[in-house]
Amino acid sequence: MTAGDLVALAAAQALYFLAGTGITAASAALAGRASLGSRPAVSWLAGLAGTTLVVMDLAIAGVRPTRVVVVAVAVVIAAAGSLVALRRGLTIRTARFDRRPPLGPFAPVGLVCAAVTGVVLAAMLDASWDRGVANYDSWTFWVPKALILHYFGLDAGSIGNVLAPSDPIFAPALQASVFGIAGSGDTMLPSVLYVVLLIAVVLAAAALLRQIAPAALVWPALLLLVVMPEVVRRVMAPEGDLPWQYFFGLGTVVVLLWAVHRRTDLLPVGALFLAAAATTKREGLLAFVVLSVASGILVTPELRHRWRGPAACGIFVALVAAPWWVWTQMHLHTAGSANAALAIGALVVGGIGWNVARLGRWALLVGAVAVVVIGVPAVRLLRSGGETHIDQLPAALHVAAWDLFDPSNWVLASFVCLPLLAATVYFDRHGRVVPFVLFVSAGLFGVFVIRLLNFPLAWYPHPSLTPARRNMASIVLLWLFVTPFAVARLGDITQLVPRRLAVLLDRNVPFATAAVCAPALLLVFVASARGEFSVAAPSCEVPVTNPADAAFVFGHVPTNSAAHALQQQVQKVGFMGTVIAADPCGRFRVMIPHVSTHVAEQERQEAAHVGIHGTIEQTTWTG
Amino acid sequence: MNARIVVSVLTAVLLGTGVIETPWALSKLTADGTRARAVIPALRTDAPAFQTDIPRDYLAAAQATIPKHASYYVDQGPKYVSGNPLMAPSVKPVTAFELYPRRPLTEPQPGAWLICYGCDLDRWNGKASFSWEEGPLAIGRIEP
Repeated sequence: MTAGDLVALAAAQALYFLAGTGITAASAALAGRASLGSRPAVSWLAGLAGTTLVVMDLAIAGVRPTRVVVVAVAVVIAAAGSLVALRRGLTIRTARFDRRPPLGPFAPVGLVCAAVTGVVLAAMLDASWDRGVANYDSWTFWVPKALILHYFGLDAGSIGNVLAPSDPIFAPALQASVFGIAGSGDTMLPSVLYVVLLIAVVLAAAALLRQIAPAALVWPALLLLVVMPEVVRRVMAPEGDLPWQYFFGLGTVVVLLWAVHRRTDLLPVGALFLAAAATTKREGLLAFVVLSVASGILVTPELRHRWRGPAACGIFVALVAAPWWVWTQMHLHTAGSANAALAIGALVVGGIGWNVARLGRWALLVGAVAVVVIGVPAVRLLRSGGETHIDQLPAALHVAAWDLFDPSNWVLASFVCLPLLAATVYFDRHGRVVPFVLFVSAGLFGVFVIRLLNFPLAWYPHPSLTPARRNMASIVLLWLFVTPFAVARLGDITQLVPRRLAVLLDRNVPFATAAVCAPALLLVFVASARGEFSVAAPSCEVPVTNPADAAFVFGHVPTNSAAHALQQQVQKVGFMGTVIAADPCGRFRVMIPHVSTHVAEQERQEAAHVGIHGTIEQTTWTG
Repeated sequence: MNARIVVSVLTAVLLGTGVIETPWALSKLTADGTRARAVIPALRTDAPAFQTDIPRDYLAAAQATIPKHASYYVDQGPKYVSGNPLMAPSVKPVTAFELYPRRPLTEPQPGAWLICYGCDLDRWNGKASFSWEEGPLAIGRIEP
């Protein structure tokens, strides 16, 4: 990362905030509010989504995302939003962000979790600083697409050359926007950008959820989000999986805020989040369709009179997503018809599906028809990746369920959130929030199980290597975002614990905060500074993930000549068939490749007899 | 059992899980950061080449030889053998990734640059002139 890159990254966030302020001002004014009605973090993320969506569709129309284009888009959005807001009666004096809501009961718990979340995000930022593009999908198509947009614009010949050319381009457009502002395609930038995106997501989630839930419910969920192994492993990979899941989870939260708390002013923000999800990955588009169907079917009688906003939201998402599918059909001829049909299906369900609310008792029937209307193109889309192996259904169900609950992916998030949501149903029996979320979750699970039927599961050495884990993340993230919302619906959480403890904790919030936060923070910082958390020593060794393709490594050396010297040394004592290969630190490994761990262990023992202490590693490695 | 107790216990578990997992997350992130910094700065953008055993000498030569914003075609053949199964399918993606803003071509064009990655050089006899060669790897230009 150069200083110029850092300035460009900061400038991009300032532009997103500017554009987002215009968006939130306009949507607040259109909803008849006297203030901006949200917190700055919501504006930041809304601006990021809105600006990138426009940059993306402009790129599809042939406009390359240069510095001038990105700045102009952000400024025009900000100006247009402000103009709409001023014309609808929002004045400069009243156009302020909402004040921070009261911390609520058990504030110290929330504050400690917020502080620790900040420490983890800072560690992510630090880890991303010197990291290049190391993940296979990142360097085979996600980042190349961004570089193509940056250098050539949306050139069909170049896009057609990368792997997965038909995956939508919201994430590449986001990266290309920052490349454009920086004026260079520095591939060290995307990893840092993705951590900044997570920071914006966490702050926006906190801002949205804190309007209805106390800090003590919101921040533990967000802390768990940032420390989950799957998020820690993938946050710095500039791919599409986590971004669409962030946006989908937050879009769902906004839909719930609209439905339960009448936050009409947030609907445009929700539409932007859902559009971002639908244009980041094909799975995001499918998830949007699932959400729309769930909304149409589970709508309450009270909501039937407020159908215009969500209908406009659904139509907006479909219209923003459609140009990419039209473009792929025209230029790439890859599964375009199915995808375009799916976008139209999304239009039908997203726009008209919400109108189902007006049909009263016919809602279920129309919802079922909508499922069929989108089901056919959805299955075609899912099949576009290859042959469907229906006989794999039991195995696919097993893999998906395993990945949804595997603690090595989510710690206990699934095991805690699902029962927690179920328990809230017990209390709030007439509520529709949790049934809605569970319906959406079941829909996502079903869609992704169907998708797994395209993959020859027997080929994967371990279930965790299938796409199931990445797909199931969408459900776990959704649960984490929605759990504080659902639990807060139960009322004052101080009633959930012994009253004496509640009074003790709440009697003096500042004192309790200082008493709990200060030692905890001090401990974290001192321990970090002393390297106490570095229990996993940094290593250039490649851990064995596939025991059938291990290697016995004689050593890691810094130069090619040193590697040749080591190779000759081991050959002299009888080890033949060695090769020299790179390690993850840019050094060289001398090794006997492509052996089982059993054979590698035998080699290790033989080498130890002649005084060579090597290691057993994976033959090949990916980031 | 009182369902309120269930909810409060599960909320506490949610809180505890995040707190307990934090040291692991910080440890992993610290290790990732240290490992990233262990790579020589000039090589930090070459991770794809490391992972696939595509020679960095070849990539450096291509970057030095082919002008920025020029177009090039990769003719990949079986003459360059590697024990890494990822190498063969990765030659074109890695080369493209490392050579942007040079534009990769799907078909050879007169006047474009040519990268022979284990290809049959005889096929290009009289049709291209090579300015860098190392074993079965060569970089040159297709005759206009």
